[in-house]
Amino acid sequence: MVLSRRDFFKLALGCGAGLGLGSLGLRDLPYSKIQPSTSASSGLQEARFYRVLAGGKVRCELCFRHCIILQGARGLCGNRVNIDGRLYTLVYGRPCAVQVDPVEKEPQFHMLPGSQILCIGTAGCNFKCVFCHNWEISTRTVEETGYVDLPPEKAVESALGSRVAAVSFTYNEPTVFYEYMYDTAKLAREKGLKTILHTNASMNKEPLNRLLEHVDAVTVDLKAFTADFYRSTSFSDLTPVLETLKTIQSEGVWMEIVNLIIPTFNDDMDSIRDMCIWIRDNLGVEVPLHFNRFFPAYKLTNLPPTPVKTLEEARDIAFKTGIEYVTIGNVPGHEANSTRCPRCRKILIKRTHFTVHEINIVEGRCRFCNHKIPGIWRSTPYTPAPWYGEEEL
Amino acid sequence: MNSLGLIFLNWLMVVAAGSLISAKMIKRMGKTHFAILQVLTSILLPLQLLLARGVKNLIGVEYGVTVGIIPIFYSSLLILAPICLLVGSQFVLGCKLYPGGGGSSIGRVYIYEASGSAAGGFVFAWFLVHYTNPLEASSCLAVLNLLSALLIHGPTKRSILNIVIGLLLVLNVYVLTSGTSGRLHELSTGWRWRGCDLIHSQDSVYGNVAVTRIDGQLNFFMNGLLMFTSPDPDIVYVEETIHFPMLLHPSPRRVLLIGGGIGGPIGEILKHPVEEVYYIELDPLIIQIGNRYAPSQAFDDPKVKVEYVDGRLFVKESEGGFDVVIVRLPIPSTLQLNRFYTEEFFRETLKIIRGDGLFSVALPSSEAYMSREMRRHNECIHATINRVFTSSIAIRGDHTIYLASPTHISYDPEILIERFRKRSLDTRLLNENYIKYKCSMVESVTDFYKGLRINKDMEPIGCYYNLVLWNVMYYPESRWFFDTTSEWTLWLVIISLSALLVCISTFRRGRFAETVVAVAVLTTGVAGMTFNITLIYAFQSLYGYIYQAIAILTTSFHIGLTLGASTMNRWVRRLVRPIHALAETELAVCAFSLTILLILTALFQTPYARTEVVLLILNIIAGLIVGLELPLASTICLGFRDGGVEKVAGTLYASDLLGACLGTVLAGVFLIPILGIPQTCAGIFVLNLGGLLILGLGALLMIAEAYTPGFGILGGAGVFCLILGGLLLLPYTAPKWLIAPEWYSHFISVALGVLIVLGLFTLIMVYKVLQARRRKPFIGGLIGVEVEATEDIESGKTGFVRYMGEYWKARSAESVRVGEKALVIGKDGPILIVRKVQSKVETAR
Repeated sequence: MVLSRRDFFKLALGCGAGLGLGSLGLRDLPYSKIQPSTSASSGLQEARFYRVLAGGKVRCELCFRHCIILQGARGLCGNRVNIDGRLYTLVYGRPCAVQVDPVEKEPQFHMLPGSQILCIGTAGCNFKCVFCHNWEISTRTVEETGYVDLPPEKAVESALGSRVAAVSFTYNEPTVFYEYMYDTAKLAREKGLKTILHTNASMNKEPLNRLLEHVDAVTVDLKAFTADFYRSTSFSDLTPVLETLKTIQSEGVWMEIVNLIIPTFNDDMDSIRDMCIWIRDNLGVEVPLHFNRFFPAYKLTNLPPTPVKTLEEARDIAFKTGIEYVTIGNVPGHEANSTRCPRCRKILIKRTHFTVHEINIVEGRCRFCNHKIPGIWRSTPYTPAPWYGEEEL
Repeated sequence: MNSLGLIFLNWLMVVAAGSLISAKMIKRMGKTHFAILQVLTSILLPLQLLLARGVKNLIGVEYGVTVGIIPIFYSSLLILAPICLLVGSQFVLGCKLYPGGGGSSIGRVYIYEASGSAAGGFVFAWFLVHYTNPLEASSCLAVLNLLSALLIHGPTKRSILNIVIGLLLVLNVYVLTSGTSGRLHELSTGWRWRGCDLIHSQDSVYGNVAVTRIDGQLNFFMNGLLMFTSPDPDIVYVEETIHFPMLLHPSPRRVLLIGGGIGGPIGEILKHPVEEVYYIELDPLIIQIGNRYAPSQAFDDPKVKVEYVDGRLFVKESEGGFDVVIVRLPIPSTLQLNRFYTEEFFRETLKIIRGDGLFSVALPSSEAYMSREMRRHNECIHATINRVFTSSIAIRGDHTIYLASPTHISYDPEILIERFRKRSLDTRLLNENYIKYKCSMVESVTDFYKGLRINKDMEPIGCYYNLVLWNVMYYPESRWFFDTTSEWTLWLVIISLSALLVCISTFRRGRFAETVVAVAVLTTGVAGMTFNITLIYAFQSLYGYIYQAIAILTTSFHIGLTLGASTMNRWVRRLVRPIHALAETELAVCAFSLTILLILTALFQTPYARTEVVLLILNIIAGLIVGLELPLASTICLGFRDGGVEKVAGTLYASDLLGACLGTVLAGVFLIPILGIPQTCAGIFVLNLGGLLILGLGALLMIAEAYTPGFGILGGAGVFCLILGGLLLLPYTAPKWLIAPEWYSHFISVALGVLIVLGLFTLIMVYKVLQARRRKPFIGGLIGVEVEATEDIESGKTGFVRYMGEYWKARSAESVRVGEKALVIGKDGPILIVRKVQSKVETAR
């Protein structure tokens, strides 16, 4: 092949430029490229858990990642920015999803069944799950999603206005809006509202302990029981999750666990058995466990939904392990939507999907056999009010 | 569909690269090399098929995870590169080896290439897809390639190559006959369904239906997309999409369900007091396989009538009288699906709905938060529905249900609950509380997204919004790009296209004339591909089904190509001024783009008149016009230089293919969805006008020195046109014109486009002429050189001769015939004085 040197350089340059440009697109950059100007820090809340390092760098101490953030850069969640050596949160009072939902949707089955809660979520997340159902907010920055201006006072005010039972921090991982959540939870508690935290359990111990003082109930997504799953599909780690679970339990805050079973990913029954045994041994048999049916979402769309049989197998294993309250979610009309009394096997709370039909718990005890049922209950029996007429904010 | 376009694009690009590269390195190659190329092709073909199936595992993508456009681009490039490079270099080498040489050999090879493509398309669509699996088909092709390699190399020779060919032949025949290919096919298709058992996979003319099993659950896929599962469907989706429209109607007696009926929905409809349920499904295979693996009693009910027909055709031809019409089809990701979300479709549906009937369609959505892209996508459809029906509402949820009616829709939960009780519906999800809950999620029409457009057959913007939704999911950074492109106007496209043309034409300074011809080929390449895509799109929009139709339409295009190329090959020898003929072809392309526009507009006025044949003929004509160009261009280019067939072939073939690439991306992805078919045709018109102008410029420059005064006239005409155009463009609101105002604005855009292109080229022209004038005259150098007469020159009269590709006027004392050589003996102003060269000096050519 005859190529002049000039031609060769031209070709090489062209190829290089093309590859370079192309590889730009290959990199999945979770960090936003938008650099806030220094003056932007004026309206921002300073982060509460971080350490200043040499050279204007900071280390975020909120979650297990411990992101070291350079000047002008953001943490992996996209919500925390280093401006002149100080760390600020970009989402304080700026949620992008605010909605009234039934508490069953959380799921939180042992807390005021049939009541409504105000759910708040912001942009950003510290996990990168390929099957995320809320990817439109969790994989975006606050600039990309837009937001509503809802400082803690206004959030609590609107919760009181819509007469909900609780405020829930959910949709994305609330850790990434810790400061906003903390202030809102504290205020909500003061005003007599309950608070719910729906988390992936990756928060560090110190901020978690401080937060739990103002939290009534926690729902934890235990995504799988293998480190490999956490690494490859969520870009995260299992160890801190298990640690957090133990912390929450030891703090005595009410907790429920959700496990989304994804076919061919985490539907291995041995691993589910290991998980159940671990829960029994470390958290006790009274922690409710929800097995949820997976539906294709975000990037994981080439999979079928979970077979109901798989969910039933998992439930049977959990029961056999000794876990007392096991339900199946995302399969409306399934018999395991309802909670049964571990002693007399009668239905305590009859549900279809998120609708509650019947509550047979009186003063925290089974109406039939007087077995004590853990959870947060109203003192008198009641029929849940239908969700109706509540406007979205 | 989008990834299909991308793969196609890569194919064209790499073949172009192959022909360009090989043009440079092919000098010493001969027949043996051609045979080797063919042998390599035969080896690579089946390998690449396997590679394509396993690529996801190879590039480290987790099973079940879908990837964005860039990994698809890279991986398809990687898979296609080897074979496409081979194909590209085969063309160039073929041109070089073809006996005779010169322009006609390129034309010949081009004809064979085009007819091969046509034959391939035909055979694949009619035989191979029905009777063989893809691996067997590729084995057959390998055998074909090996046989031809054997013929070229000479079967009687004793050489290693022949032994290799022989072995490979035996291997392929063994694979074909022993059933190995079948096993390999099963094995490799299984790669796609890792973790699930593939229990059935079958192709119909509409696509591939596959069934997998995992833990007792059967999953049904159409072209790799999940359709439904059994025994447990997506309960929320099934019950919400069926029961809400049914409950909103006081007495739904006649129900029409378009698509998505298997896996539960029909059974749900039958729970209501219905008299007749029409279920429309295009592909009988879906129902056949569905009923085989997940038998449903619903289909045995005498009330249920299944029709295997295109949904739009059914709606169009139906006598109407339906109480509820439910569309349960996938999102409008392709034009074929987008037809069920357009204004035209909704209008047709409105006609068949009785009195207070309901129309319902659902789109994936999100309850808590919707991104801009998703809102725009869904609201585009909602706004389109809202434009046609008297009232419409949206019930928000993970799937938002859009309901529309010719009368007012009342969604009082108490009434719905009353009906729910009265019909004593046995449901898994729905109950009284849930109905109340969903009624609280109802949104009636509020202010739609700013700048939202209406989804139409001819302007399928819904498709584009869908593309954006998909791409922004993977690449949020690309949002600004799509935001910009969705605002594209014909204007902008014209400006950027003309800028592109200018860039290309000035790129290769030394060989302006040759570049000009290449640009003309490029613009025609763009036009050809755009015509092809436009016609395929039109076909999809008008008639729906596509799988096999693509092959037929593409085949007809290639038949046209073959016809055009062979006709031109015969003509080209007799042409006195091939460059004029080239200009005429460009003009024909321009004219054709307008013709296509008019015919398609007419067709869209009366869809479903059985006019597929019109589209076929149009496609053949498109191919014909495009086919004329390459042999012509190669003859012209060969006139500029001696020899170098492979270089000319490489350059021209590559520019043809690059034009096709450009056409694929531009027309397929952007222009048709964003601008619509009419404006796309207008854009092609302008583009080829640009090509024509550049060509004119090239021709002009060649004789600029001879005809300098002529240039002034042209310039004057240009100025006149500019002024006239400017006057026309003055803000002027058309009164009650016969043509619609939208059309008027299209015409203005076209006119403006022409103006801009004209203006730009006048500028370059002035520049080039000035440059030419500044150059020192080299007239003296002409005397004593040999020229070729391009027309008969009678004694004492003047005629044209060609010298180094340039045309000169010449006078001769004795008569000179076409093709004869003459010697320049003097010069009279711009006219050469020539003398006939004695026959003994005449060269063999």
